[in-house]
Amino acid sequence: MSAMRLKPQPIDRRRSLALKPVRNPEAVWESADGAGLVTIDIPLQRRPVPGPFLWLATKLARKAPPSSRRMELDQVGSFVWRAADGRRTMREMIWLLAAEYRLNRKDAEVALLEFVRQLSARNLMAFANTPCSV
Amino acid sequence: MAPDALVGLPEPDFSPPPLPPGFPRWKHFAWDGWDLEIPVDWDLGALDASPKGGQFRLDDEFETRLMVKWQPLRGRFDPLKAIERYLRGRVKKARLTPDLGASVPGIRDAFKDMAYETYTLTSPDSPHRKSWGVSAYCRNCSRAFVVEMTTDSRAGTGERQVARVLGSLRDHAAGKLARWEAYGLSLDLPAELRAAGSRFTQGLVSLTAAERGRRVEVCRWTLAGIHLANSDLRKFLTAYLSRIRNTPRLKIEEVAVQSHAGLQFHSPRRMLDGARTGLRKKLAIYTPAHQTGLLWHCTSSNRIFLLTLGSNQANDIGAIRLLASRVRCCKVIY
Repeated sequence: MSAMRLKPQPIDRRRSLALKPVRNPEAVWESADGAGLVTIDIPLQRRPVPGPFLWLATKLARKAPPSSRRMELDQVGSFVWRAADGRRTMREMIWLLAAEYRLNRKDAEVALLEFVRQLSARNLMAFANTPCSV
Repeated sequence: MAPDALVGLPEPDFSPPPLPPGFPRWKHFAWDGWDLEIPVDWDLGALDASPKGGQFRLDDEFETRLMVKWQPLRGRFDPLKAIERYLRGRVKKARLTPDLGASVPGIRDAFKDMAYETYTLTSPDSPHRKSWGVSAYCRNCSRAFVVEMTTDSRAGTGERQVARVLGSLRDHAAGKLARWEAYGLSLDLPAELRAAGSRFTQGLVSLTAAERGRRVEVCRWTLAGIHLANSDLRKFLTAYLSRIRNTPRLKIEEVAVQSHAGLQFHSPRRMLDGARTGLRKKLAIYTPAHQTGLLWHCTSSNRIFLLTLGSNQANDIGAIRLLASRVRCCKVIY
């Protein structure tokens, strides 16, 4: 019981910024000309629906329910998505973002951490501690 | 991807910042008369400034690197007592070993006109860390201050960095203009203007400096391309002003600022303006009665700048133009 009451230990910043964000290899994404805005197809997880209900829903909606949702990233998001190749650390990505968009280091860091947090919450990004490729 | 790659945390990273090629290595931090050269990965971590004194802290990516505390002083200054007061409590709590009078590199020229005393701090718990401090009193601006910088041998910082940072420290403006620079916002303002407020949010930095009857506010937004993607400067300005309470009705005109597209705005002239100004002076009302401002989009640095001057003169275009010419907007400062 006492172990359950223990507070989670704070993660050392030097360690956390040495992690390498990596895109979910299952995520399907595309960009218009290879350098433009990125669009990601997120597969929707649905509860299994009994056949007759699915048939009825399809008939009523006159089309099959969507199996995925599209997410369009903005300029900065697209840049981060492309940079998260599993080889660069978070720290390297912060400086890369700062240089690309002429941002202050702190501005770049806040923007990047928030964006990466949102993507990892949707299972689109994970963190590796050794270089890996996707 | 190997599943092992996702388990556990990597070793702490003590390497120097991975700056992309062509990135500057040093920059300035300047605020309310203070001016010093710092590594590009340092940024303002805390700031508290008022006429009764203040302090600021500069952090690198991971920890505090420099701390300055100051207060105006009229009486006799004893640097050793100032150090004792500054270190009281800290020494015992953190098991630090002070060495008063220890040599601090690079400060001889920077502190030549001041009465000062130096110290260093070490701790057996973290032998790789060392703090270098100076307590000084400037006769020109009657300010007593303590500055302390921390180095970490694991991160490759040491005496050379101390010499460069503390050697560049200035505690007051040398001429009629004072430099202000933080978070990529850099400009010169008349030296008599003192810090009256600041705001540091993601993407927006603003500083306010004021004296009797005059108030200057400078704001800068990064990622201008994204702010103006579905909007224009006029909509941007209107949206910003609508969020400020008690904004008078302003006249907005298109102008060029430092050869960038911009807008000029000012509160309209009112009847008997001269008499009103005289009356305000008699009644010692120092709140500025009129607002004049400039907003421009600097395409070179991808930033939007807003400069607002509050004064008792209506449509003070000459003054605002002069102030705008001293904003370093095209120079990309990190």
